[in-house]
Amino acid sequence: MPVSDLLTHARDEHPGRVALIDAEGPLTYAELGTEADRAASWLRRQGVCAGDRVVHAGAGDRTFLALLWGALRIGAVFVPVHPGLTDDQTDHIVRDCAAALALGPSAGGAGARVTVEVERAAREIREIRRTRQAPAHPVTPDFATAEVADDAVALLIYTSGTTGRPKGVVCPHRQVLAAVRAINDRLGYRADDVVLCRLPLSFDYGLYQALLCALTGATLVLADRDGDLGLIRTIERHGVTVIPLVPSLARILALLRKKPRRPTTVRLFTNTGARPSRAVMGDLLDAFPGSVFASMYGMTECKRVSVLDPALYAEHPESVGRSIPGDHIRIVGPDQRTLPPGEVGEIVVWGETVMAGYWGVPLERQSRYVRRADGSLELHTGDQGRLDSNGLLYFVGRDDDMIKRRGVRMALSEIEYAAERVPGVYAAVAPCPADEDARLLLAVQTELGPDEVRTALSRHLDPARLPDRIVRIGTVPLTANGKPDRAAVARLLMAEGDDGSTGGTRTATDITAPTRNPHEPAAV
Amino acid sequence: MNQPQFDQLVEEICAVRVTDSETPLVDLGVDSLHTVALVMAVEDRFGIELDPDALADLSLTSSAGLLRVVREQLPGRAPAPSGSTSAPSGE
Repeated sequence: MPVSDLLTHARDEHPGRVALIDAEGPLTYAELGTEADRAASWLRRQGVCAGDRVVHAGAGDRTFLALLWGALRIGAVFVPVHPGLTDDQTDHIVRDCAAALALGPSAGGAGARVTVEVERAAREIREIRRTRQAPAHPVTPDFATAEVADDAVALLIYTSGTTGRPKGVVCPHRQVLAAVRAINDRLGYRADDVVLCRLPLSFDYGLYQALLCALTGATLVLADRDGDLGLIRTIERHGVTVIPLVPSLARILALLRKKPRRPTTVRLFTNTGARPSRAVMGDLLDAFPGSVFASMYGMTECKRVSVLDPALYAEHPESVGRSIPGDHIRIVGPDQRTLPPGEVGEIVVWGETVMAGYWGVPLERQSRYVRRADGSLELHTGDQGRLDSNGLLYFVGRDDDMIKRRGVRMALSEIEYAAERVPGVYAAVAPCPADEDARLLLAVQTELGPDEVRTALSRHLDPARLPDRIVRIGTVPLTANGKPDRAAVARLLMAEGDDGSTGGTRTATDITAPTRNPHEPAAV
Repeated sequence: MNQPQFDQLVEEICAVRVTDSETPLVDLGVDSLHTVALVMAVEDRFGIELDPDALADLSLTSSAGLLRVVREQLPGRAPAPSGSTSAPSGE
């Protein structure tokens, strides 16, 4: 079954229910379905066929969702890209996936066969609405559904891989549906739920909220940064019941709820990736009486791995829960042998939600994906963790190159690679920050001033990946293998008082302490 | 509270340098969490509640723009700036 059948079923079963509320107002499932029909027609007019990649680098609104559902229905591959990326970053993705159509800024999308500004696409999709009332016009909505195999690609989601530039995780229809169903088996979204999505839809955690809502007939409320001060009002006005969190959003809500308010209908918070501190989570659960918290773990390469039953949070606040149905977790040591409960090793996952590897990279070069005897892929997450005797997973840390910053998983090598593309920079080393709260430093060997490097780097990297501080060094220490020695660079910087352990200009009045940099997607 | 004093408050709460009072906060590098923290601190400081609709384009608001909104919502005049900033405890 194609992912688009989720919307088809929702149209049939809940035509009158509100599917989404964005800045323009509410849209029922019947209306969203009609928007998707028009988007499908519009996509075909752009020459998009089954299997073609459609890059969307615009805001997360009703046009995004119409194009998502429309693209999936005609068998095209939807590639959501954060609108905050630089033209250079978008261009990389557009070229890497050989996009047939890029919706977004003309410069970033120039590498696609066709490039259309998002506003123009939205306008033209609306034109189809009008022509429906004037049957003389040849353009009509498109109701056909393409024959889509379960292992055909539904989504390409770009994420920082093990080395170098972002790679596209290949998400087939089968795995996406398996993930949506398994997540909902654990979280239990209902038709009367109202889900507040203050996450970018280009982020898979945000995107799956739309899929989960379609599965259950729930309502998706799309909010963006500009509505932050009114978030509590949004929650009250729309009767929000479910809020997916990232740590910075948890803190924003905790700050906003300091004022006395009426009780809300919020029943469930979820979180994935970096977790809000227990103090913030405690404040939040107190501020929203009747709500519970489901802590989750996953990564784009397999979407979701585990969900903690909210009833277990009080007793196991550090756990990210048990594996979701259909997935299996094991912990392996450096020799790749499975470790017994209690021992810390790499988190390895196999099962129904493990995606089909990275786009355009031969499997033998994909160190994260390993073929199992039965032919399926096993994901080596690169994350360290342990299982307890009850099967509860505990996340311990990530391997050296991967860090999480502002909710964005990134490779230090990706930042170094970008810096080394700046003319005049001979070498760049990003030492691993001591923890998620530490500043991200970049040591560069160059004649350029740090500000010049930063200016040049800002053309290659989005704000989440820009270092907090750029320090010039005379020479790059190397390891025995001749690779830049990040640990030695870290020691060098520490000796000079640039160890990144302090928040720089933080003062006693920084009420968001201790985290100087929120862990969040770049746009949250 | 005059603009330079207000800029200083923005710098303290948001841990950024206000190079120009009219530069949007987002261009100064202020993220969403610190933007909300700033508004909460300003409300505490001035004893007012800002209308979310008056700050609908919050990320595009500048230090000067925020101070203008504060002044519009002040009943009489701005309180005299105190020596030290006070802010609600975060967590």
